[in-house]
Amino acid sequence: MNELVKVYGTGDTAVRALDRVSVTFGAGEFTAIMGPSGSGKSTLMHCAAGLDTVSSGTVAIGSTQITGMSDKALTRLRRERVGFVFQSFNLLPTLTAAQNIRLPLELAGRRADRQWYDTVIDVLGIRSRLEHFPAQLSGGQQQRVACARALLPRPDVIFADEPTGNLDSRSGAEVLGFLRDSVRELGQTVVMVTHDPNAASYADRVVLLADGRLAGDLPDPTADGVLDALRRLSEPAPTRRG
Amino acid sequence: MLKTTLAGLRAHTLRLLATALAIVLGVGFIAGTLIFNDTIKAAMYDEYARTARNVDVSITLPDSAQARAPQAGSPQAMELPLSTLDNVRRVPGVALADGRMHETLPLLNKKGKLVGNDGKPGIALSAGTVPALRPYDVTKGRVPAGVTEAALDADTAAHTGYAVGDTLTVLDTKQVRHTVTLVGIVSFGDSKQYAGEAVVILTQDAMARLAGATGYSQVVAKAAPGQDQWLLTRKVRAALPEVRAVAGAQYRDNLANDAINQLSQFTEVLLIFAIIACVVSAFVIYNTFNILIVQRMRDMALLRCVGASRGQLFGSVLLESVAVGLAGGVLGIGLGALLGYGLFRGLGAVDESLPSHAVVLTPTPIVVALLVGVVVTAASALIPAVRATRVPPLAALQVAPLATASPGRRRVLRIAAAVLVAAAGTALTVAGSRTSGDAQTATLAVVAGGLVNFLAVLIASPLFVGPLTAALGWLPGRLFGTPARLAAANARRNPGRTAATTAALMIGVGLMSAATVAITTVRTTANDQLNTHYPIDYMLRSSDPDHGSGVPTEVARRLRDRPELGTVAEIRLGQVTLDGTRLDVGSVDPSGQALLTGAAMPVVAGSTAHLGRGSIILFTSAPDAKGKKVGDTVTLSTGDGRGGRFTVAALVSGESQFGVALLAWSDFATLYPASTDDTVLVKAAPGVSPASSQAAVESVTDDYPVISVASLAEWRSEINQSVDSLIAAVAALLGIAVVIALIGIMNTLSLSVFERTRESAMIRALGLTRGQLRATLLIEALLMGVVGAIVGLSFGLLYGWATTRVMFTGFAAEVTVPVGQLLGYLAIAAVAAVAAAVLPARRAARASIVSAMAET
Repeated sequence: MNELVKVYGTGDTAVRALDRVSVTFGAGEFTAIMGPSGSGKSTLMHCAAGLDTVSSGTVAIGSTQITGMSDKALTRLRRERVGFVFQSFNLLPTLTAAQNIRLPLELAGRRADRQWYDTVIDVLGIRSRLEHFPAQLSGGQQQRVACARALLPRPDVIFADEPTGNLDSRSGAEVLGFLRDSVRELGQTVVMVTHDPNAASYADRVVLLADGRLAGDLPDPTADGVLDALRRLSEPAPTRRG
Repeated sequence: MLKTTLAGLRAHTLRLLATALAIVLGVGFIAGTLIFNDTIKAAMYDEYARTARNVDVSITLPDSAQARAPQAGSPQAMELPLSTLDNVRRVPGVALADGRMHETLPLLNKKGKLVGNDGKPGIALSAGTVPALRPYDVTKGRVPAGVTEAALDADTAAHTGYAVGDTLTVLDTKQVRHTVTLVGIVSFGDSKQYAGEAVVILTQDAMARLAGATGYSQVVAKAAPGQDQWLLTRKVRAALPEVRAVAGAQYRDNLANDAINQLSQFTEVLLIFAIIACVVSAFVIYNTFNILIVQRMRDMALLRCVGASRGQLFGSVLLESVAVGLAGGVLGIGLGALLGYGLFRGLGAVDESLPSHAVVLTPTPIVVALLVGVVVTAASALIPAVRATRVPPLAALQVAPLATASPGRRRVLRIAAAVLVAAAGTALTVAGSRTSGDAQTATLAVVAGGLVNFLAVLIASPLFVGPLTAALGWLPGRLFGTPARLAAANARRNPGRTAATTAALMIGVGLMSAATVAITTVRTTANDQLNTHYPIDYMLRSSDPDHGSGVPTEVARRLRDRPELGTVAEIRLGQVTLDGTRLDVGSVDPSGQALLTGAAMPVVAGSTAHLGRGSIILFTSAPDAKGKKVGDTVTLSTGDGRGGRFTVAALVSGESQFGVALLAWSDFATLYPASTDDTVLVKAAPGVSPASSQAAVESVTDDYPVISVASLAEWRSEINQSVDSLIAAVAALLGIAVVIALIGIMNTLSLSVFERTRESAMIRALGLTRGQLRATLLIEALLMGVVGAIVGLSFGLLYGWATTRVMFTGFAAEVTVPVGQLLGYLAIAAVAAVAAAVLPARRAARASIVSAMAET
């Protein structure tokens, strides 16, 4: 995305949530977006996924520019080329796990590739839970169903918004491990928003945001490295000697 | 706590107004009916002001004397003798007195046809000799002075084109034509007592000569100055004990009340429908409050956390409902005033005799409306309020709303309750259907059973609404794919909510279809009865039966001369005392006996084939038929001393148009030597076209303007027409209940949309287009509407059938199911339900995904 600006409100009350952010997420890469609260990381993700409109600048997925697309075209794009994993799982309570997983494909009017479906189900270990309703599943199980839902259509990119926010550490680690594996072994592209340095350490790359601006880019991060970078961000303007 | 409630009311004003809308309609209906009633009463009181002008005492024949008078043949017994007037004048304190004569008088228009109102001839009033006591004003010309002079009411003069100086033709009681000169036009002012009727004013002598008046229908008196009218009335009573004297004020009241009586029945029927509308509103309110409580569970729990007691929460919800009820009541009064006045004006447009009047608003409808609004709303909110007190304080700390799955124990209880209630209802229904007693008790039992069973359906509906929705959702699921499947899943998600929402619609549609089945069956039965009881083409009757003139005998003779006509049957009627009971006895001439007896009369015992001299056929509906056997003898006597003993030849069942006993023609002629025909039945000769047979009949009847010719084809279409308008009226009245039910669907859906904001945003993020999201909600509404309509229709069909079956025992009623009409109701319910979902669906689709997801 290029020179992205997102302004909420007008005049004096206007808030510049994103201020000329340009960033590229590599295909087949697991990128984490990090930053303190209010840094604009969620807004960045919403704009990148075509959920929100931008005030100026452009967003492209692959070679498709999505800024300026109609709602209908955006919807079709989300259906076919974007997957989502949310913090609060967001499964439809009225549908079984299996129905939830197939929902995006059904909306697109496509059939699931049987082999791929089996692979995804088995990798996530939710075969025995397919006929259960979300209310009958634990948080970790629900999030794995949500991952399966995101993976099944083989989207160009999966956006994960704080996927471990509502999970205990063990379930969280499982989900993160799975997201990493899907990138390494299945060639999936994943962009994850998180404020947990531990979660970010699963990624191939961490993009740091502060006050709506790009504030850092760490390849092959570790939990400690991310923590350091974050700490530096929250300090007053660093004074460098030399 | 009060502050919290008030703040909540302010915050949710719009939503609560939507809730109030349901009660506004219900209350408006009730208030409208009451206001209509008050207005029409006031109008009626004003209307009779002129008739009672200057009247301090009104003297008429007592009711008992009128009842004693024979119905036909001697109308003079129903009138005050001419001497009454002199007797009244002699009472001290009477300043002026006048006698009023009132008779029917057929008036012919310029083309020689009867000037009438629905085939009934006009009336003649005596001109009166005391100007102050005349019930009319002369607007043109003068009051008639001689026997060849007459005045005419302004309306009739206007539409017949008669003007002062013209010659009028009237028929006397023997139907002989007479001409009189029009000398004046009169007006009854604002009073519409004679609206729609042709009123001819004649002198008293002319009344006697032309209209056959032999006495007064009323004598009116004006008191001397200083004389109290109540005191004078008592004096008149003392002087003339055989008459009924009422004071002028009372007379005016009585006149108005008589006119209102008929309308009271109309308002009673309206009130029943208004109550149905309120019951439906109660369902809608109950449901809305239930949903509101679930949605505010966290707020409630928070209040409990900070120390609100259960009682306080209960009070808070109840207070909220009272506020909604009060608002609904106030708005309902406004709507009621509009409705009441609209109804009054609408009825006035249809029925010319209704006077005009400003809308009357008495305290009663206001108090009733407020009371009904508050009580219905608060009562509907009781269960939701109790539910609110059960919210555990811990619920405030949980992220996801509590699951609303109903526990198994409740389910078992529900099934048990439904089965018990259904058993009671079915027992009542079966008892009603099997009873051999009178139809009215049986019908009541079946209707009561139906109501109890409907309650069972309502109790059980949360259990079957889910599967039914799923089954119905299958087809749209195939057709419209994912949105439809999501809709079906949503409609099933909360069976209690869907059940309560559809229940309102079930009531409306159920009653509508039951009424339609019943009314359509009445139509078929009526048509069948016409065909079997009158295997004829034309029926001739006098349109002025009050004079006992009937159809002159030469009419039948002349009809028989026409080759186009096959059978011409004369029917005569008389009143006799049979073994001490008064009843109508009929007879048909031998040539037409086959028309009347035969297939048309279900024979219980004996034979109707040969009704010879000295025998009688008794209908089982005759008061005297109980315990009589074929071969018994009965004693029969007429009013003027003739009589004889007759042997019962047959007992027949069913209703008869021509008396409840039949005599041989020759016997009847002996009993009533001067009788004329009451009815002449005509059947066209074989192979004659309806047009030429009608022309043949009319060639004879043209000489007798008073005789009305009913062709059976016309009659049938008249019955069908009145049945259709009855169905339309019932549908319109129940339509209000259906509209309220639709408001319920709209409320439920908007609350569901609100509840599912996050969920909707999520599926939108997953790739559901706006249109598809809209479709999801529209289909959900469609499913609810169709489920409610189908359950209502099935129930209405079942009970419409059961009720009419017992209502017409002995009539061999063919229960008719108007399939097209019922399917029409289904379609209307479906379309209306979808229409109700348009606004909520738009709102759901408009929400932006990101902000919707941010909401918790």
